[in-house]
Amino acid sequence: MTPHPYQLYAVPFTEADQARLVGFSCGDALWSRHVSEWLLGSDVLDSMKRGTRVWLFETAEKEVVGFGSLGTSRWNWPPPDGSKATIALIPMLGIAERFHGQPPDPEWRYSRQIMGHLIAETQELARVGREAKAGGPEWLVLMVHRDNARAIQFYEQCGFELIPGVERRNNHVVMKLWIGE
Amino acid sequence: MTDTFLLNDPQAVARLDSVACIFEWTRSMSAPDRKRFLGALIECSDDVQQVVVSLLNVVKDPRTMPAERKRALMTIADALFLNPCEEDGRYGQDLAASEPYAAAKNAPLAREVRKMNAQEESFAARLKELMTAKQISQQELSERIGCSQPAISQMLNRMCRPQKRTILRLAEALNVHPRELWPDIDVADMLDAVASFQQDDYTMTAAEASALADTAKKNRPKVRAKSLPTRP
Ligand SMILES: CC(C)(COP(=O)(O)OP(=O)(O)OC[C@H]1O[C@@H](n2cnc3c(N)ncnc32)[C@H](O)[C@@H]1OP(=O)(O)O)[C@@H](O)C(=O)NCCC(=O)NCCS
Repeated sequence: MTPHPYQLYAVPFTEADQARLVGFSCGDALWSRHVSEWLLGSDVLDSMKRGTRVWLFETAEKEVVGFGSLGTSRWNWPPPDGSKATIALIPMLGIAERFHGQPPDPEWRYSRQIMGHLIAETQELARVGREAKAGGPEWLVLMVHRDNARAIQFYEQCGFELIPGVERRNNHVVMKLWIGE
Repeated sequence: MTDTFLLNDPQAVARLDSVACIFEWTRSMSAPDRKRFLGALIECSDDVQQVVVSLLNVVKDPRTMPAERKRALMTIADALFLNPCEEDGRYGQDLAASEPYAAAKNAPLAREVRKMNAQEESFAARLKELMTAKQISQQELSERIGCSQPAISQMLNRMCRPQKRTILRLAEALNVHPRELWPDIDVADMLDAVASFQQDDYTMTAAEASALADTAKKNRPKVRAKSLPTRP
Protein backbone atom coordinates (compact mmCIF):
# COMPACT_ATOMS: atom_id res chain seq x y z
CA MET A 1 0.00 0.00 0.00
CA THR A 2 1.43 3.40 -0.88
CA PRO A 3 1.45 5.76 2.07
CA HIS A 4 -0.81 8.79 2.10
CA PRO A 5 1.01 11.75 0.49
CA TYR A 6 0.66 13.85 3.64
CA GLN A 7 1.87 11.16 6.02
CA LEU A 8 4.59 12.52 8.33
CA TYR A 9 7.47 10.51 9.71
CA ALA A 10 9.08 11.01 13.11
CA VAL A 11 12.85 11.09 12.94
CA PRO A 12 14.78 11.34 16.22
CA PHE A 13 16.74 14.57 16.14
CA THR A 14 20.49 14.58 16.74
CA GLU A 15 23.03 17.38 16.85
CA ALA A 16 24.26 16.37 13.39
CA ASP A 17 20.87 17.43 11.96
CA GLN A 18 21.57 21.07 12.73
CA ALA A 19 23.71 21.40 9.63
CA ARG A 20 20.87 20.44 7.29
CA LEU A 21 18.38 22.54 9.24
CA VAL A 22 20.07 25.83 8.39
CA GLY A 23 17.34 28.08 7.12
CA PHE A 24 14.58 26.31 9.06
CA SER A 25 12.27 29.07 10.18
CA CYS A 26 8.92 29.05 11.95
CA GLY A 27 8.34 32.70 11.07
CA ASP A 28 9.51 36.13 12.06
CA ALA A 29 7.28 36.94 15.04
CA LEU A 30 9.11 37.15 18.33
CA TRP A 31 7.57 33.91 19.55
CA SER A 32 8.49 32.16 16.31
CA ARG A 33 12.09 33.28 16.11
CA HIS A 34 13.02 31.82 19.44
CA VAL A 35 11.45 28.53 18.36
CA SER A 36 13.76 28.23 15.35
CA GLU A 37 16.64 29.50 17.44
CA TRP A 38 15.97 26.83 20.06
CA LEU A 39 16.35 24.08 17.49
CA LEU A 40 19.33 25.53 15.66
CA GLY A 41 21.32 26.63 18.66
CA SER A 42 22.50 25.11 21.90
CA ASP A 43 19.16 25.16 23.75
CA VAL A 44 17.90 21.97 22.16
CA LEU A 45 21.10 20.19 23.16
CA ASP A 46 20.88 21.47 26.73
CA SER A 47 17.31 20.31 26.94
CA MET A 48 18.21 16.87 25.57
CA LYS A 49 20.86 16.57 28.25
CA ARG A 50 18.01 16.84 30.72
CA GLY A 51 16.21 13.96 29.07
CA THR A 52 14.07 15.72 26.48
CA ARG A 53 13.29 13.71 23.37
CA VAL A 54 13.21 15.66 20.14
CA TRP A 55 11.86 14.58 16.77
CA LEU A 56 11.98 16.08 13.34
CA PHE A 57 8.81 15.50 11.39
CA GLU A 58 9.44 14.84 7.74
CA THR A 59 7.50 14.08 4.62
CA ALA A 60 8.21 10.90 2.65
CA GLU A 61 10.55 13.09 0.56
CA LYS A 62 12.54 13.89 3.72
CA GLU A 63 11.48 17.47 3.76
CA VAL A 64 11.45 18.78 7.34
CA VAL A 65 7.96 20.09 8.14
CA GLY A 66 8.53 20.75 11.81
CA PHE A 67 9.85 19.48 15.08
CA GLY A 68 8.54 18.64 18.50
CA SER A 69 9.96 17.79 21.87
CA LEU A 70 8.84 16.02 24.98
CA GLY A 71 10.34 16.02 28.43
CA THR A 72 9.40 15.61 32.04
CA SER A 73 10.04 17.71 35.07
CA ARG A 74 9.58 17.31 38.79
CA TRP A 75 7.51 20.08 40.23
CA ASN A 76 6.87 20.70 43.90
CA TRP A 77 3.40 21.14 45.29
CA PRO A 78 3.44 24.39 47.18
CA PRO A 79 3.98 24.28 50.92
CA PRO A 80 2.89 22.92 53.28
CA ASP A 81 2.50 19.84 51.03
CA GLY A 82 5.97 20.00 49.53
CA SER A 83 5.74 16.63 47.73
CA LYS A 84 6.75 16.31 44.07
CA ALA A 85 4.76 15.59 40.95
CA THR A 86 6.11 14.39 37.63
CA ILE A 87 4.84 16.60 34.86
CA ALA A 88 5.21 15.85 31.17
CA LEU A 89 5.96 18.92 29.14
CA ILE A 90 6.53 20.08 25.63
CA PRO A 91 9.58 22.34 25.86
CA MET A 92 9.28 23.43 22.25
CA LEU A 93 7.32 22.76 19.10
CA GLY A 94 7.33 24.42 15.73
CA ILE A 95 6.36 24.05 12.12
CA ALA A 96 8.22 25.70 9.25
CA GLU A 97 6.28 28.75 8.24
CA ARG A 98 5.40 27.54 4.76
CA PHE A 99 3.67 24.51 6.27
CA HIS A 100 1.47 26.44 8.70
CA GLY A 101 -2.12 25.41 8.14
CA GLN A 102 -1.01 22.73 5.69
CA PRO A 103 -2.43 20.58 4.29
CA PRO A 104 -5.92 22.12 4.31
CA ASP A 105 -7.49 18.72 5.02
CA PRO A 106 -7.90 18.74 8.82
CA GLU A 107 -7.60 14.97 8.86
CA TRP A 108 -4.01 15.20 7.63
CA ARG A 109 -3.07 18.62 9.03
CA TYR A 110 0.62 18.44 9.90
CA SER A 111 0.16 20.29 13.17
CA ARG A 112 -2.31 17.66 14.36
CA GLN A 113 -0.21 14.73 13.23
CA ILE A 114 2.65 16.20 15.24
CA MET A 115 0.58 16.85 18.35
CA GLY A 116 -1.00 13.39 17.98
CA HIS A 117 2.48 11.92 18.07
CA LEU A 118 3.57 13.91 21.12
CA ILE A 119 0.39 13.00 22.98
CA ALA A 120 0.71 9.31 22.11
CA GLU A 121 4.29 9.31 23.35
CA THR A 122 3.21 11.02 26.57
CA GLN A 123 0.43 8.50 27.10
CA GLU A 124 3.01 5.77 26.72
CA LEU A 125 5.16 7.45 29.40
CA ALA A 126 2.12 7.67 31.65
CA ARG A 127 1.26 4.01 31.06
CA VAL A 128 4.78 2.85 31.86
CA GLY A 129 4.77 5.00 35.00
CA ARG A 130 1.44 3.57 36.12
CA GLU A 131 2.55 -0.01 35.56
CA ALA A 132 5.78 0.54 37.43
CA LYS A 133 3.79 2.36 40.12
CA ALA A 134 6.43 5.05 39.71
CA GLY A 135 4.06 7.97 39.58
CA GLY A 136 4.22 8.71 35.85
CA PRO A 137 2.91 12.02 34.54
CA GLU A 138 -0.81 12.66 34.43
CA TRP A 139 -0.65 16.11 32.93
CA LEU A 140 1.02 17.32 29.81
CA VAL A 141 1.80 21.02 30.01
CA LEU A 142 3.25 23.60 27.68
CA MET A 143 4.09 27.26 27.77
CA VAL A 144 3.12 29.74 25.10
CA HIS A 145 3.48 33.49 24.64
CA ARG A 146 0.18 35.09 25.56
CA ASP A 147 0.03 36.99 22.25
CA ASN A 148 0.70 33.90 20.14
CA ALA A 149 -2.98 33.60 19.22
CA ARG A 150 -2.45 31.07 16.44
CA ALA A 151 -0.61 28.63 18.68
CA ILE A 152 -3.09 29.07 21.54
CA GLN A 153 -5.98 28.41 19.16
CA PHE A 154 -4.20 25.31 17.87
CA TYR A 155 -3.50 23.98 21.36
CA GLU A 156 -7.12 24.53 22.36
CA GLN A 157 -8.25 22.64 19.28
CA CYS A 158 -6.06 19.79 20.50
CA GLY A 159 -7.75 19.84 23.90
CA PHE A 160 -5.34 21.96 25.96
CA GLU A 161 -6.79 24.40 28.47
CA LEU A 162 -5.24 27.56 29.78
CA ILE A 163 -4.36 27.44 33.47
CA PRO A 164 -6.03 30.60 34.71
CA GLY A 165 -4.08 33.11 36.74
CA VAL A 166 -0.66 31.84 35.75
CA GLU A 167 1.93 33.95 34.05
CA ARG A 168 5.47 32.73 33.62
CA ARG A 169 8.46 34.83 32.58
CA ASN A 170 8.26 37.02 29.50
CA ASN A 171 4.48 37.01 29.15
CA HIS A 172 4.08 33.28 28.85
CA VAL A 173 0.93 31.42 29.82
CA VAL A 174 0.70 27.74 30.67
CA MET A 175 -1.73 25.21 29.22
CA LYS A 176 -2.54 21.71 30.43
CA LEU A 177 -3.91 18.48 29.03
CA TRP A 178 -4.94 15.37 30.95
CA ILE A 179 -3.09 12.29 29.77
CA GLY A 180 -3.73 10.05 32.79
CA GLU A 181 -6.58 7.55 32.94
CA MET B 1 56.84 52.29 35.21
CA THR B 2 53.80 51.32 33.22
CA ASP B 3 56.00 49.92 30.50
CA THR B 4 57.78 47.62 32.87
CA PHE B 5 54.50 46.54 34.32
CA LEU B 6 53.06 45.72 30.93
CA LEU B 7 56.15 44.02 29.70
CA ASN B 8 56.16 41.73 32.68
CA ASP B 9 52.69 40.50 31.84
CA PRO B 10 52.90 38.07 28.92
CA GLN B 11 49.19 38.37 28.19
CA ALA B 12 49.38 42.13 27.95
CA VAL B 13 52.37 41.87 25.67
CA ALA B 14 50.57 39.43 23.43
CA ARG B 15 47.61 41.77 23.32
CA LEU B 16 49.72 44.78 22.46
CA ASP B 17 51.37 42.76 19.77
CA SER B 18 48.05 41.83 18.15
CA VAL B 19 46.70 45.38 18.39
CA ALA B 20 49.91 46.66 16.84
CA CYS B 21 49.57 44.02 14.15
CA ILE B 22 46.07 45.17 13.30
CA PHE B 23 47.04 48.82 13.15
CA GLU B 24 50.05 48.04 11.06
CA TRP B 25 48.01 46.01 8.67
CA THR B 26 45.11 48.46 8.33
CA ARG B 27 47.55 51.17 7.29
CA SER B 28 47.40 49.81 3.75
CA MET B 29 43.65 50.48 3.60
CA SER B 30 41.91 53.62 2.43
CA ALA B 31 40.57 55.74 5.29
CA PRO B 32 36.90 54.69 4.93
CA ASP B 33 37.84 51.02 4.56
CA ARG B 34 40.02 51.20 7.57
CA LYS B 35 37.29 52.80 9.62
CA ARG B 36 34.81 50.20 8.51
CA PHE B 37 37.17 47.35 9.22
CA LEU B 38 37.98 48.58 12.71
CA GLY B 39 34.32 49.34 13.35
CA ALA B 40 33.37 45.79 12.39
CA LEU B 41 36.14 44.39 14.52
CA ILE B 42 35.04 46.30 17.58
CA GLU B 43 31.45 45.19 17.11
CA CYS B 44 32.09 41.49 16.74
CA SER B 45 32.22 39.02 19.60
CA ASP B 46 35.41 38.23 21.50
CA ASP B 47 35.53 34.84 19.81
CA VAL B 48 35.48 36.36 16.35
CA GLN B 49 38.07 38.96 17.38
CA GLN B 50 40.38 36.20 18.49
CA VAL B 51 39.97 34.37 15.21
CA VAL B 52 40.65 37.55 13.26
CA VAL B 53 43.79 38.31 15.23
CA SER B 54 45.15 34.81 14.78
CA LEU B 55 44.39 34.97 11.06
CA LEU B 56 46.16 38.32 10.81
CA ASN B 57 49.19 36.65 12.27
CA VAL B 58 48.99 34.12 9.48
CA VAL B 59 48.69 36.92 6.93
CA LYS B 60 51.72 38.83 8.15
CA ASP B 61 53.90 35.77 8.67
CA PRO B 62 56.52 35.79 5.83
CA ARG B 63 56.42 32.00 5.70
CA THR B 64 52.74 31.99 4.75
CA MET B 65 52.11 30.78 1.20
CA PRO B 66 50.15 33.09 -1.12
CA ALA B 67 47.18 30.71 -1.30
CA GLU B 68 47.06 30.44 2.47
CA ARG B 69 47.29 34.18 2.81
CA LYS B 70 44.39 34.62 0.44
CA ARG B 71 42.30 32.09 2.29
CA ALA B 72 43.03 33.77 5.62
CA LEU B 73 42.01 37.14 4.18
CA MET B 74 38.78 35.74 2.85
CA THR B 75 38.00 34.13 6.18
CA ILE B 76 38.55 37.42 7.95
CA ALA B 77 36.24 39.10 5.48
CA ASP B 78 33.64 36.40 6.05
CA ALA B 79 33.85 36.74 9.77
CA LEU B 80 33.48 40.51 9.64
CA PHE B 81 31.09 40.66 6.68
CA LEU B 82 33.62 42.54 4.60
CA ASN B 83 34.36 42.01 0.97
CA PRO B 84 37.95 41.34 0.05
CA CYS B 85 39.24 42.44 -3.30
CA GLU B 86 40.93 39.34 -4.67
CA GLU B 87 44.06 40.93 -6.16
CA ASP B 88 45.62 42.78 -3.31
CA GLY B 89 43.72 41.65 -0.27
CA ARG B 90 42.36 45.14 0.34
CA TYR B 91 38.76 45.72 1.07
CA GLY B 92 36.11 46.61 -1.47
CA GLN B 93 33.16 48.82 -0.76
CA ASP B 94 30.17 46.61 -1.26
CA LEU B 95 29.31 45.19 2.10
CA ALA B 96 25.86 43.98 1.07
CA ALA B 97 27.09 42.18 -2.05
CA SER B 98 29.67 40.23 -0.10
CA GLU B 99 27.07 38.54 2.07
CA PRO B 100 25.52 36.10 -0.40
CA TYR B 101 29.01 35.16 -1.54
CA ALA B 102 30.25 34.55 1.96
CA ALA B 103 27.03 32.83 2.95
CA ALA B 104 27.20 30.41 0.04
CA LYS B 105 30.56 29.22 1.31
CA ASN B 106 29.66 28.91 4.90
CA ALA B 107 26.43 27.38 6.18
CA PRO B 108 26.43 28.74 9.73
CA LEU B 109 27.19 32.13 8.28
CA ALA B 110 24.20 31.79 5.97
CA ARG B 111 22.06 31.35 9.03
CA GLU B 112 23.52 34.45 10.63
CA VAL B 113 22.91 36.46 7.48
CA ARG B 114 19.29 35.33 7.33
CA LYS B 115 18.82 36.25 10.95
CA MET B 116 20.47 39.60 10.54
CA ASN B 117 18.27 40.39 7.55
CA ALA B 118 15.12 39.66 9.49
CA GLN B 119 16.40 41.70 12.41
CA GLU B 120 17.32 44.60 10.19
CA GLU B 121 13.91 44.62 8.62
CA SER B 122 12.06 44.83 11.90
CA PHE B 123 14.61 47.31 13.18
CA ALA B 124 13.95 49.67 10.28
CA ALA B 125 10.19 49.30 10.70
CA ARG B 126 10.37 49.99 14.41
CA LEU B 127 12.65 52.94 14.02
CA LYS B 128 10.32 54.42 11.45
CA GLU B 129 7.33 53.89 13.74
CA LEU B 130 9.02 55.43 16.74
CA MET B 131 10.19 58.45 14.77
CA THR B 132 6.67 59.02 13.52
CA ALA B 133 5.14 58.51 16.95
CA LYS B 134 7.61 60.86 18.59
CA GLN B 135 7.62 63.28 15.68
CA ILE B 136 11.36 63.31 15.31
CA SER B 137 12.92 64.08 11.96
CA GLN B 138 15.95 62.31 10.56
CA GLN B 139 17.93 65.49 11.00
CA GLU B 140 16.96 65.84 14.65
CA LEU B 141 17.71 62.23 15.42
CA SER B 142 21.08 62.36 13.71
CA GLU B 143 21.99 65.38 15.84
CA ARG B 144 20.90 63.66 19.02
CA ILE B 145 23.03 60.60 18.44
CA GLY B 146 25.88 62.34 16.69
CA CYS B 147 25.77 60.75 13.26
CA SER B 148 24.96 62.08 9.81
CA GLN B 149 21.42 62.43 8.48
CA PRO B 150 22.20 60.14 5.50
CA ALA B 151 23.26 57.45 7.99
CA ILE B 152 19.79 57.57 9.55
CA SER B 153 18.23 57.50 6.12
CA GLN B 154 20.27 54.43 5.25
CA MET B 155 19.13 52.65 8.38
CA LEU B 156 15.52 53.38 7.55
CA ASN B 157 16.05 52.04 4.05
CA ARG B 158 17.90 48.99 5.34
CA MET B 159 21.03 49.89 3.44
CA CYS B 160 23.29 49.54 6.37
CA ARG B 161 23.35 47.29 9.34
CA PRO B 162 22.95 49.08 12.65
CA GLN B 163 25.74 48.49 15.10
CA LYS B 164 24.98 47.59 18.66
CA ARG B 165 26.24 50.88 20.01
CA THR B 166 24.13 52.73 17.50
CA ILE B 167 21.05 50.85 18.62
CA LEU B 168 21.77 51.68 22.24
CA ARG B 169 22.31 55.34 21.39
CA LEU B 170 19.17 55.46 19.27
CA ALA B 171 17.18 53.90 22.07
CA GLU B 172 18.49 56.47 24.47
CA ALA B 173 17.76 59.32 22.09
CA LEU B 174 14.23 58.03 21.48
CA ASN B 175 13.74 57.29 25.15
CA VAL B 176 12.75 53.67 24.63
CA HIS B 177 14.14 50.35 25.78
CA PRO B 178 16.71 49.02 23.26
CA ARG B 179 14.50 45.98 22.82
CA GLU B 180 11.92 48.15 21.10
CA LEU B 181 14.45 48.62 18.36
CA TRP B 182 16.14 45.27 18.54
CA PRO B 183 13.64 42.62 19.55
CA ASP B 184 16.19 39.84 19.64
CA ILE B 185 17.27 41.14 22.96
CA ASP B 186 13.92 39.53 23.78
CA VAL B 187 14.58 36.27 21.97
CA ALA B 188 17.38 35.54 24.37
CA ASP B 189 15.01 36.25 27.26
CA MET B 190 12.41 33.96 25.72
CA LEU B 191 14.89 31.12 25.48
CA ASP B 192 15.77 31.62 29.13
CA ALA B 193 12.09 31.42 29.98
CA VAL B 194 11.82 28.14 28.07
CA ALA B 195 14.82 26.68 29.86
CA SER B 196 13.43 27.68 33.24
CA PHE B 197 10.08 26.07 32.39
CA GLN B 198 11.78 22.70 32.33
CA GLN B 199 13.68 23.25 35.55
CA ASP B 200 13.19 20.54 38.17
CA ASP B 201 12.24 21.59 41.67
CA TYR B 202 10.02 24.36 40.48
CA THR B 203 7.42 25.13 43.12
CA MET B 204 4.00 25.59 41.61
CA THR B 205 2.06 28.73 42.30
CA ALA B 206 -1.26 28.40 44.06
CA ALA B 207 -3.05 28.82 40.73
CA GLU B 208 -1.01 26.08 39.06
CA ALA B 209 -1.40 23.76 42.02
CA SER B 210 -5.14 24.17 42.17
CA ALA B 211 -5.48 23.61 38.41
CA LEU B 212 -3.32 20.49 38.45
CA ALA B 213 -4.87 19.13 41.65
CA ASP B 214 -8.33 19.48 40.21
CA THR B 215 -8.56 16.02 38.65
CA ALA B 216 -12.31 16.36 38.46
CA LYS B 217 -11.62 18.55 35.45
CA LYS B 218 -9.74 16.25 33.10
CA ASN B 219 -9.52 17.91 29.72
CA ARG B 220 -8.62 15.12 27.37
CA PRO B 221 -6.98 15.23 23.94
CA LYS B 222 -9.16 16.25 21.04
CA VAL B 223 -6.76 15.01 18.41
CA ARG B 224 -6.07 11.42 17.55
CA ALA B 225 -3.15 10.27 19.69
CA LYS B 226 -1.02 8.25 17.32
CA SER B 227 2.73 7.79 17.18
CA LEU B 228 4.11 8.56 13.76
CA PRO B 229 6.07 5.93 11.87
CA THR B 230 9.82 6.29 11.80
CA ARG B 231 10.48 5.89 8.06
CA PRO B 232 8.87 4.25 5.06
C1 LIG C 1 1.87 26.74 16.51
C2 LIG C 1 1.99 25.97 15.21
C3 LIG C 1 2.78 24.70 15.48
C4 LIG C 1 0.59 25.55 14.76
O1 LIG C 1 0.65 24.94 13.48
P1 LIG C 1 -0.29 25.46 12.30
O2 LIG C 1 -0.14 24.56 11.14
O3 LIG C 1 -0.04 26.90 12.11
O4 LIG C 1 -1.70 25.26 13.00
P2 LIG C 1 -3.11 25.06 12.31
O5 LIG C 1 -3.22 25.93 11.12
O6 LIG C 1 -3.40 23.62 12.15
O7 LIG C 1 -4.03 25.57 13.49
C5 LIG C 1 -4.09 26.91 13.85
C6 LIG C 1 -5.55 27.33 13.95
O8 LIG C 1 -5.60 28.67 14.43
C7 LIG C 1 -6.25 29.48 13.48
N1 LIG C 1 -5.60 30.77 13.48
C8 LIG C 1 -4.67 31.25 12.63
N2 LIG C 1 -4.28 32.47 12.99
C9 LIG C 1 -4.95 32.77 14.12
C10 LIG C 1 -4.99 33.91 14.96
N3 LIG C 1 -4.20 34.96 14.72
N4 LIG C 1 -5.83 33.88 16.03
C11 LIG C 1 -6.61 32.82 16.29
N5 LIG C 1 -6.61 31.71 15.51
C12 LIG C 1 -5.79 31.70 14.44
C13 LIG C 1 -6.13 28.77 12.17
O9 LIG C 1 -7.14 29.15 11.28
C14 LIG C 1 -6.23 27.32 12.59
O10 LIG C 1 -7.55 26.92 12.83
P3 LIG C 1 -8.39 26.06 11.71
O11 LIG C 1 -7.59 24.83 11.44
O12 LIG C 1 -9.67 25.79 12.40
O13 LIG C 1 -8.48 26.96 10.54
C15 LIG C 1 2.64 26.78 14.12
O14 LIG C 1 1.82 27.87 13.76
C16 LIG C 1 4.02 27.30 14.46
O15 LIG C 1 5.00 26.60 14.38
N6 LIG C 1 4.11 28.62 14.82
C17 LIG C 1 5.37 29.27 15.07
C18 LIG C 1 6.10 28.69 16.23
C19 LIG C 1 5.29 28.66 17.47
O16 LIG C 1 4.55 29.57 17.75
N7 LIG C 1 5.42 27.56 18.22
C20 LIG C 1 4.75 27.40 19.45
C21 LIG C 1 5.61 27.88 20.53
S1 LIG C 1 4.87 27.50 22.10
